[in-house]
Amino acid sequence: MVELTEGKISIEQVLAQVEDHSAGAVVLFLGRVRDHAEGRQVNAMDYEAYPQMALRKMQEIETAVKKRWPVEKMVLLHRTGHLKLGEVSVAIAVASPHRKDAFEAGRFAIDTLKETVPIWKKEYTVDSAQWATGKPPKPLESLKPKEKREAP
Amino acid sequence: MKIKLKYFAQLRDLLHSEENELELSSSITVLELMPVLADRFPQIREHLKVISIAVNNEYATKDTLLQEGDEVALIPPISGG
Repeated sequence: MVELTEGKISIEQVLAQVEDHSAGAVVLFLGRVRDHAEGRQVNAMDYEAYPQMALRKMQEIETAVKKRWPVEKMVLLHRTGHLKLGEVSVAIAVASPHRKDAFEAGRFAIDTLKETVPIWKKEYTVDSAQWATGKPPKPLESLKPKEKREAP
Repeated sequence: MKIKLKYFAQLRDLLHSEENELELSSSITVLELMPVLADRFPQIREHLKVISIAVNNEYATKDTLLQEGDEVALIPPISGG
């Protein structure tokens, strides 16, 4: 399921939504508001979305993940509005029978969200606020899962 | 014909608006829309070079032909996550 929310993200709720007895592995990714950006001290962030389109792009990610990996349940949840340091801005949970698929699918989901979903953040410093530099969106079809890393 | 324009992030700040209607004399492509926008909104002229355009909630190409009633969003570089 995909969702945008103005309320605080509940990790328990996210995990409950991927409850699945056939899935022995759950990967949970959380993105949090960090205290620095491009050398500036950051105190808070505003997140803004183009809601209808963001949800559509998030749904496309879910569809692409379920096509590539044996993932029965997943959550893509992004917060909007004003967030303080350390607050969770994005949560992605992927449940799969085995960990390898869950890790790969989770990585692909967050990477693709950052490349395709129309959401913007404004970074607040002590004396200013400015929109993050960002990057031009890419079509999902052009994105492939990252190369697998060899075990050390 | 009329289209609906939507703005986000820095563009919304600069234009002090979230959306507008734009009257076009004929059906034009996304590529042909760009000089129209630059003319109408000189305050975002520099930004127009780096934005993407979405038509009805889907990223458009330069050749996408705009139709009456389309929702055309000006998408600055994205920074979600």
